[in-house]
Amino acid sequence: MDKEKGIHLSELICVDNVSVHFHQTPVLEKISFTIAPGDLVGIIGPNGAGKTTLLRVILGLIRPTTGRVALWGRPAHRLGDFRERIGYMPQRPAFERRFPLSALDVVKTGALSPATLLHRFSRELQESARSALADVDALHLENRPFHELSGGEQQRVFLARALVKNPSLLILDEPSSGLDLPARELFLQLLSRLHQARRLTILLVSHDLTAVASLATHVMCINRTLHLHGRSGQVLNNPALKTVFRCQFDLLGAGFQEKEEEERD
Amino acid sequence: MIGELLSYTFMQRAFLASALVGTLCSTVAFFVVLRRMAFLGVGISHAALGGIALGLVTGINPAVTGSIFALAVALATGQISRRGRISEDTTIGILYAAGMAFGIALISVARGYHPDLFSLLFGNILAVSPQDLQLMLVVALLVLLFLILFFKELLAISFDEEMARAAGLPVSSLYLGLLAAIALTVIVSVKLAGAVLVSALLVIPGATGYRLSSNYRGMLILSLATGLAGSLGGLLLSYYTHIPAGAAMVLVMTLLFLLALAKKPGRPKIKTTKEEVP
Repeated sequence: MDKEKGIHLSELICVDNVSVHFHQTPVLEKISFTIAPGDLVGIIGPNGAGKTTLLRVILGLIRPTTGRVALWGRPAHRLGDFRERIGYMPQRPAFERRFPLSALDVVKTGALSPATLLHRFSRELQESARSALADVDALHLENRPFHELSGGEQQRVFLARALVKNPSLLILDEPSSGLDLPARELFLQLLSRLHQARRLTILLVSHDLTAVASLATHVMCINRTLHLHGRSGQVLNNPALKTVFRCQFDLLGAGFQEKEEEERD
Repeated sequence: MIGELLSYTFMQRAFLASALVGTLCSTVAFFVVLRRMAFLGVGISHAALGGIALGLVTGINPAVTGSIFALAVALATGQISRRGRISEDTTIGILYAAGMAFGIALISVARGYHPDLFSLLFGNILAVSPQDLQLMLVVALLVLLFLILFFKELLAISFDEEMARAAGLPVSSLYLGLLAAIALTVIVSVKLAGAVLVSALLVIPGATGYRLSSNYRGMLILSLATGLAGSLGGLLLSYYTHIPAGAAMVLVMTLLFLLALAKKPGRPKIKTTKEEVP
């Protein structure tokens, strides 16, 4: 433990008593949690719960009204070179419909940083972008116009863009929204494979509870405040989940079994 | 025939000015179209009229007052729309009407002084002075240098601003830089195309390139080709038909855009395959 900063060095993300207010309206209130390296954490909650805001606070894009956020022991808004360790896949951007970029061009935009300002794309960066496309099984799409790709293919390219800097932390905001069942299935399998192969720490915001249930090692349920946080089974089988989502039906159908239990069977 | 035209000094200046404005506007148009900022060009050019009128009435170089006005409007648009919870198009709608109203009020109040309003509104390329040409050259170099140096970053923020912000890129500074580049481009182009029509030069070349190409390099080259063909072709049309140069340029560019629109979009070379779940 770094006594001076009061931070456990084993914690990759430390969110400490964070509140965010927009024009006096509270969006997040007194949220605290830590995330260890290698965790795959699902963040769930109803619409307007503040899930994306929480991700943006962690990324240092929004300064909390009170509280503090640290990644690798550094304040989120002053990460400097440590920002290179983060791969981010925001919600689908509202870009011009026929934006003239190829799949490879899109991946290359993920390699940009303050360090690449005034520099040309190097051959190494070009190769990193191709390698990231290969990692998501999309190298064959490299020269295709991005706007001509299917929704599932576009999401895989966005994932490659998040991976291009070889990050250790991957932050994904609704990555499977708008995908049909096969494309969603493919995407989730890919994510699971990457998590295991690269020992990535993943933060996944999703409305898709079955996706979270199948992937996450830990789950956080927020609705302005942090309601539930723990191992996936503990949270997803907790009756309080229905109260947070303000609904009566069983959110996961026949309930949820911990992955370990399934594996033991 | 063109050799004969270029034997006149004023036509040499007009040709150089057209080539500069055509290059500058079509490069800026690339980003104007991709970022859906067409209305911003309209707003800045109309609001700049207030600054130009201020210069004409006070005796200060109208290019200077116009530039200050256009820059102020561009930067205010950026700031108000980002911080004031008012959309960009609403902000432009207010500022451009206010700038124009200010210009009209000034010209009306300054009794006894009647600037050539027709030239101001619709351009007069034959009145381009050597000083105007020098100013154009300096502005063109500055704007093109900015766009070339930060091209990949400007392209990235145009595609996905949130991602660029998360990567630590100076998104706000780049955005304000682009607004300033548009404002300066408008000011040096007003002499040729006029305050009413200059915004078309900031849109049509980019839109033509966008229509014809699926990759950004192709779009940029076609935008440049349309901008140069439109400005130089417009100048020739203006010389022979005596219609204002700004209107002639816009007409030639519109014709090129319509031809691009008539062209059938190319089919994708590779068929989209269904995704398979392994």
